[in-house]
Order: sequence, then structure tokens, then C-alpha cells
Amino acid sequence: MAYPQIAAFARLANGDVAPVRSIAGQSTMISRADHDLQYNSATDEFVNANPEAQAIMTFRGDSDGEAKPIRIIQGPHTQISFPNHGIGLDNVHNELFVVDKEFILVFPRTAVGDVAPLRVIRGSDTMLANARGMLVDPVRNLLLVGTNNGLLVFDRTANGNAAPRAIIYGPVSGIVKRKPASQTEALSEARGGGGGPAIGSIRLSPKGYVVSVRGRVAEPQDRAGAPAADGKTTNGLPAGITAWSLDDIAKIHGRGDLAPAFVLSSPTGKMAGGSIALNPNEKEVFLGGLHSMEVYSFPEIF
Amino acid sequence: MSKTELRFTIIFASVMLALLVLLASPNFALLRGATPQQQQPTAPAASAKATDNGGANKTIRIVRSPLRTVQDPNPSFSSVAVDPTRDEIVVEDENRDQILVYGRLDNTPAQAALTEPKRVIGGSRTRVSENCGLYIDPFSGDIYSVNGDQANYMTVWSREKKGNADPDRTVDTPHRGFAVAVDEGAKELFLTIEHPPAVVVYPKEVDGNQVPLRILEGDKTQLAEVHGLALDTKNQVMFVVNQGPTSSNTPDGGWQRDIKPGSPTVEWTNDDQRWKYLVPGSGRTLPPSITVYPLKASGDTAPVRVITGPLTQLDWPVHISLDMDRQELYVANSVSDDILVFRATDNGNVTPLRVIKGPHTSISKPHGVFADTKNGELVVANFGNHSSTVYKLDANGDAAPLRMIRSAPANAPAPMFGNIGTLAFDTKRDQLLVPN
Repeated sequence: MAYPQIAAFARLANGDVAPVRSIAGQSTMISRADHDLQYNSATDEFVNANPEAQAIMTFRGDSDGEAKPIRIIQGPHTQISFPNHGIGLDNVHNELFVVDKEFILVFPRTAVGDVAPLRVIRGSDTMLANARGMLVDPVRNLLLVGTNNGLLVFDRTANGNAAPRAIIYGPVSGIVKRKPASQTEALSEARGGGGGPAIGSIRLSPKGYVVSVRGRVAEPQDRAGAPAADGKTTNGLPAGITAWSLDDIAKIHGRGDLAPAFVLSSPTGKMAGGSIALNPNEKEVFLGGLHSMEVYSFPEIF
Repeated sequence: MSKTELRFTIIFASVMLALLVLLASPNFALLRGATPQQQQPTAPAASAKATDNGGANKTIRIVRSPLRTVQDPNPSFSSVAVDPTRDEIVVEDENRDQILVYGRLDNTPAQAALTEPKRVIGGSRTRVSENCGLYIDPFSGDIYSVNGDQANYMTVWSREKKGNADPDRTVDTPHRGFAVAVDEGAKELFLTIEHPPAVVVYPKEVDGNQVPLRILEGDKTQLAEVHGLALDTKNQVMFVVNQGPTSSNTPDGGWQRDIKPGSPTVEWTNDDQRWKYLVPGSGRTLPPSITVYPLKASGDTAPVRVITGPLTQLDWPVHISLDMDRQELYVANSVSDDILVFRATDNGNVTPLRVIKGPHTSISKPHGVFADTKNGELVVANFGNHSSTVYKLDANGDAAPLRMIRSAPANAPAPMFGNIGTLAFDTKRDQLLVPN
């Protein structure tokens, strides 16, 4: 795993292009295994995690080169273990949520240093298993977390061994644990390298859609011209950018298998990957995966 | 009209009618290839219920090509090794998950787009993925290749293998393997693990999920996001490159906990469970360093020397190579585009003996480095410009390369993507933020 930079690309970048900025180097305190990054447009900052150093770091929006983080949450009181997935920002209540595999830590958004979390959602009732993507909705007072048990919906202020108020899971929703698409993927999953949870990276569109990627995404051999071992798609489904209505999710209590409002697929049935970002200005969805990115127009969800 | 024609007409009319009904349905919108302006998305379901799967037919399905795709179509070199016996240079192509073999004296002409490799190993059967560590058996010419992320393997390749082939051996490794080196005298193979940081030592002929001989890990080791590795079999020490971020294992943690007494095999704990054996809040970021240990070190052993400090200029150091005769260490220093040369006996906050750096060197985000002592040359893998460059072993300063192998046209952009684990859109600057 080569170069753990945070690179910035122009929105209209296309083809083989170099980044316009690269935040990299010892001073940045960045490490590899960073699987969530949140840009805060209200404060012009971005937040990411260094799972190896058990740190949550905030950078100025215009950071470049060997920029240092302006705030770091790190230390024995933080309870941070390996936060390589899921960061949530709540500017209304000024809180920062951190997913840490099987629990969630909530800090003051501007916390610095060795601070104890305000709340910890942890315990067997939470159903937090391999928790990954997260989003906070301060309007509906919801906290959504993608896990191996499905998309879990908590009250925003949940604390302790709190059970989710709703669990979205099932074939209608498309939120099901992925079946490995190849021997390589299966073996990788068995070893914990690239296993697929029920739902990973999630984002909230301004129009109130919860957006994620379901189904099989492209593997390196797809680009190398070699077919995947079985040449099939996951669960018979093509990869798709999937959008569920958050208003509909909010109506569910208990288990639900909610149909998505939209599924956008590519003609090839494959997409770049499961990492996702939304550009509300031009109504675009960015996807990232192994060594590539794609941009889709998706005005229906904005 | 014959019976056959009549039958065909009825079938054709039925199919067309069914198609028209399907397309006219308000609950079905397969808008293949339509532009956003042409589409008429319906409102989202307003009355979804807890166990409602009747809403499935309300899903609007859209098929649409991407507006833009960003990717590097060219090989990017993350590691390099020389086979002086067979006059070959082998590189890891981390961008396209391939191993490429070139002639040692290959030199891409300035006007040429690239140099074609003699041999390519790549494809789904190879299990080569995000490959970043390399060793060549000096006797057999076998290639040892370490996967860096998604697939936790080291693969071994005999000289006959090429294309989308099965490896001769596949070794199960802990997650986040990086570099490999072999003590040919003792027939021991050393593998670095980035995090939780460790050096795992196997018999050289290791295969499958065989248990290692010993593991170096623990707080006293000062290992911290481990990368490169070099062995000095003459002086019986090993050099390990550390980038700095780390946290502590619990008392019963570490990779050693996976090894069951008496068992010849090991199942390494996967990443979803490994975090349970880290001490919460013990995280720290140490300065980058090169730590030196006895070659047979195991367990929580402190280094005998540590090269670290601002004078060293270490900045995300990656691979390392040792000239055992000259007792010099070559370090690929990725961020500042240079190769640092230290004395193998250096200790503490020392200034490098030499620094190869400058616009004439063509060094860009160097990741791999190899001291070819037989030919008196230093070979560098540049992750930032699709090239491997060759220098005299005693090169210093802004030295032009003797030769260069390019896998892409000169000045071809290098996005340097790894496994893109997340994305964020910077609405103020209209830019996409992409970590690796």
C-alpha cells in the first residue's frame, strides 16, 4: 500500500490526471487505512481519522503539502481503538461522531487532545458489528450506521447499550451481505482484507436521500482485461448507486426491508467502487475504488 | 399466409404488445442511456412501511454511463529488485496489480512512449493485488511478491510463469504486509507488517498457512507503521523502516496470539477482530525512524540502534536497501523526492552521508530502491512518474540517471491512487478529496 496522501482533484478532472493538491508527509500525521473523510462546508474544514495512531484529525479546507492538523483528538480518555470507518458531523449540535468497529464515540465537534467522549453507544443491544459508513441527521434527529447487520437507525442522542430503533435489511432494500464475486474476493474476505459488509459508505443528499453503492464493484482484473473468476455480479445484481428516502426510513420502527427510491447503474453493470461523495452544486455523485474514480450525473436525488 | 408466418406474426405482435405495456407502466422506468433532462423521475415512495416490500416496484431504475472517469492506465512502480545473474529488473506495478520484468540494461529512448516488459504476471488467478514488496531468489530467480492490502498473501513465482497464471506458492500473511527479505544462509524469510507493526520470520520455503518461526512485535521494539526491510547477514542485524503512527497491543494481543502451541498452521485474525487486541487510547505518532535489531530478534525486543531525528530528513520513508560491502543504507524517501544514504553503523539524529535529489535525477515519489552491488548501480522505483531510474552506486546530489525504464510517456500524469477508501467533495473549491 503505497502513498497515503489526501489528494485533491478538480471537479472536472477526467482521464489520467494529476491532483491539484496533495496533503502528504510526516507533518500531516496521516496514515493509511483512512476510510472516511468529511468536508465541513460550514467551517471550511475536513476531518479524517488516523486509525493506527487512534486519532481524529481536523485540517483547514485549503490544506496542502505538509499541512499540520489544526485539531487532534487522541489519548487514553478518548477510548478510540481503530476508527478507520465512519465520521459524522453535526453542525447544529456541534458534535463529532466516530465509528469504531463495534461502538460509536461522540465528541464535541471542536474537541482537542485527550478528551472523554460525551456519549458512547456500545453493547450487545446496539447490533453494531463491523460498523462502517455513518451519517447524522440533526433535522430528523437520526443517526444511521452501516453494519454487517444492515443499516441501523438510532436516535441521534442514543447513548450506552441502546438498541437501534430500526434496522433496514433485506433483498428489497438491496442491503444484504455481499457474496464474494471471485475466489480472490472470497479469500480476501475470509482474511478480513476486503470483505463486504451489508452496507458501507453512505451519504445524505440535500433532498433527503440516503445514498450508497450496492452490488459488485470493479476489481483490478476488470481493468487489466482479465475476467473475474466467475464473471458474474454479486447476488445477480449489477452495481448501483442506491438512494433510499430518509423520510421513509424515519417511519420504520423495528425491522424493515425498504425499497430504494432510485437505483442508478452503469451499462456495464460495474462501478468504480463503494466510496461515495456528493456534489450538490452540479448534482453529481463521485465513486471511488481500487485505483479509479467515476462521476455520475444523478439529478433525481438532489 | 402460411401457418409458420401466422405463428411468427402472432408471437411478434404479442411481444411488442407486452413491451408497450411494460414501458407504459408508471412503476417501471428503465431509462437506458437517457440524459437527466429526458428523464421524468417520480416522487419517492411516501408511505413505506416497516416490512414493506410492496414498494419494490416503486424503485426507479436508471442506467447511465459515467460522465467522467479518473484513472491511471499505466503501470506505477512501488518496488524494485535486480536479478544480476539473469540481468533483469523486476518491478511491482501497484496500479494495475502486476509484476513486470525488464532487461537490466533496458533504457527507454526519450522519444519512445514506454518500454515493453519481457514478462508480465497479472490477472485474477495470480492473486497479485496492491503488490508492494519484492525479493528475487539469487539462485533460482524465483520472484517473491507481497500484497499490500486487500488480499493477505505473499505469492512466489518461478521463472516459467507469466500472464494470468497461478502462483507456485501462496503464503497466508497477516493483513497489511509490506516488504520481504531473505537470509539465504539461514534460509529464513522476513516479512514486515505495517499495523499492528511486526516483523514475521518464516522458513524460506514457507507455503500456505504455515506458522512462522518467530515474530518481532511490541512497544519496546519502537516499530510503528512498518515499511521497508534490509538484512545484514555479515553483521547479523536487520534494518526496519518506520513511518510513525502506532498503538499498543493488549497483553494478550499481537500477532503471536494467533499461533496455537503445537499447531503447524495459523489462521491470522482478520481486521474486523484485530482491533479488540489494541489498547484504546494508546495511539501515538512517533517520528520516522530506521530501527536496527539483532537478526534473530523476536518478541518485544528493543532496537540496538535507532536512526531518527530532524537531521535525518526522513519523510515517509518507504523501502530500504543495504550495500553490505560498503556498509551503506539506501532509503527511498517518498515525500521529498530523494534517496537518502546512511552509514549502516549510524545511530540517532544523524545527517545522511549522501542525498540523491534534484531536477536532473528524475526521482519522483520514490518507493523502491535496490543496491545492485554486482554492477555498482542503484535502482529506484518512482511511484510518481511511472519510471525506474538507475544511478551509480556512489551517486550524490542532482545526478542524472544512467538509464531509465518508463512504463508511460514522459510527463504522463500520475494520480497515485491506491485503494480509495473514501471520498469527500470540497464545495468551496469545487474539488474532490481523495485519500488512499
